[in-house]
Amino acid sequence: MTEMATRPVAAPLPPRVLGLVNWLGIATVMRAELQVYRRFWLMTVGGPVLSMGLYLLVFVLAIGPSRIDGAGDAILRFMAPGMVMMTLLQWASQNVAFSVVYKKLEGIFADYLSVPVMPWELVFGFVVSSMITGMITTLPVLIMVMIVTGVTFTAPLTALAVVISSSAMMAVFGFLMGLWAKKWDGLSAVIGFLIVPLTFLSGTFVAIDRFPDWAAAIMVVNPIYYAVDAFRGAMGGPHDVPIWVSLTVLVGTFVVLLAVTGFLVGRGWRIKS
Amino acid sequence: MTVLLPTSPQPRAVGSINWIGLKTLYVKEVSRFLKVFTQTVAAPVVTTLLFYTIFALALGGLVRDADGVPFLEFLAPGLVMMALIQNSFANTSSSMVISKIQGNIVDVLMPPLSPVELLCGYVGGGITRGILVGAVTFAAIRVFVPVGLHDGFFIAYHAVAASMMLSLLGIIGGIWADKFDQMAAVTNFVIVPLSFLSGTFYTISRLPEVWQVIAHFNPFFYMIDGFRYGFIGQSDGTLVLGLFVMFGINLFLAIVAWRMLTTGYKLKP
Repeated sequence: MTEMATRPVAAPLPPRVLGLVNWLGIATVMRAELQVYRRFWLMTVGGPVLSMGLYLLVFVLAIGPSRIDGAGDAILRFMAPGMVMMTLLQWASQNVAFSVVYKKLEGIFADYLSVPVMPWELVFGFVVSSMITGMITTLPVLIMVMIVTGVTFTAPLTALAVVISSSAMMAVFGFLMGLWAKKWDGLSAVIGFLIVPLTFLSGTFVAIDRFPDWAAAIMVVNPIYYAVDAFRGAMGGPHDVPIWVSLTVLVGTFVVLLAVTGFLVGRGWRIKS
Repeated sequence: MTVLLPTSPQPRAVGSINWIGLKTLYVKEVSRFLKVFTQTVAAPVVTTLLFYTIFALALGGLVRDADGVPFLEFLAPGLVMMALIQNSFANTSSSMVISKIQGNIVDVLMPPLSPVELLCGYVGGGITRGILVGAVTFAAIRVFVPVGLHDGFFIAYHAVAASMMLSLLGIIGGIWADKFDQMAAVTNFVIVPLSFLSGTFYTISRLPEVWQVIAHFNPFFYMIDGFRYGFIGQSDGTLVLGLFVMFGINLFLAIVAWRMLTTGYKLKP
């Protein structure tokens, strides 16, 4: 007994004082996300580069000899910004969606709810991580597309604004998808029947005036269309909508989605039983 | 007084082929993908149709015809074939990997099924999903574009041979892969590139000479070329050679997969 008493006891840690924002909490959420991304770099970086490279190669080969007369080149230059945007938006939404569904199914999400992190801090950490990983995935694709098609930025700051606002919008949407999906089939249904059609019907490969009317009507209410259009404008291509309108649409959609998501996470929707 | 004892069940006599076992495995494989058919049938069909629309709109004005056939009619069989092979591969490979990771592969290895019967059950499931997705996609395209039928034999032969080949590849890949990301790597870095660069979207004859030679070493080229011949009556390669190539590859892959199942490579400790 006496022996026990003489053993030095570590002084209990004083409770950490949290300011207005739990920065350490946000940083920890982000660190966890980025680690998973880094561990699977072959899939998260290598895969998208390869698949976009294949798209590009197939388009170059399919257009073939008519590249010489300039018409083929024009098509490739039109598609280039669309392909970059498609990669960015798909990955910015999917990274976070997969992560949320995985954590829900494995029961890890409870760990996030039991630590002193506010709902909005949680959403912020997930969303910013997914924006960062989406951008890292897109960077090699951007470089490849620029080299092959010779397209460059004419308005870099606009491009940056579009990249940030659109990836933020899609990352929040990805969080919402992940929250909604109860199982993997749910998530792949949203991706297959909503995300993929919306990215294809956004003017990535084809200008809006070549679509039939019903498809053009869908495109006008599709926020991704504004992202692709503005980004193409920033890369010196033709664009239909004034840049400021596009940016307003992107930021507006982001704010609405963020408010909805923050509210739902606060309520514990589909997280707490 | 005699007590009537219930007769104890007798061991079932299994003939040279275990038909009940084979049928059970096949039904299990088919109901596995039908249970989530939005994911396994509807989603691939929608994606393929989107591909078709986009390629048609993007290139339709520029590439009016390929091999003397309207571009839309040229493109349709290739895309149907692409959907077919990717889904055959996905079916067997995912079934294998999931069973291995969840540990229920023993439930398939324990019953009195020989390696050949195992192979037939899995491959049957893969062929069924591939052809189902291909047929639905074709029916949907047919609504919009009048794709003709030229030679039913080539269509049927290559549909079955291609889905069988990819089902076998899926089994081999699934047995080899230890984790999901290894399986995804095989899909992304082997299956998708080979199917994209097989002449689905362009005719080989318009490529530079070096690319033409390379294309002829890609087995996927023969299945798409022969399958397309069945619809449009035009071919890039040698049709008879294509039949033999597909037969030979299937035979080779079947032997490899059979050896893997017989020796228990990565399946039995």
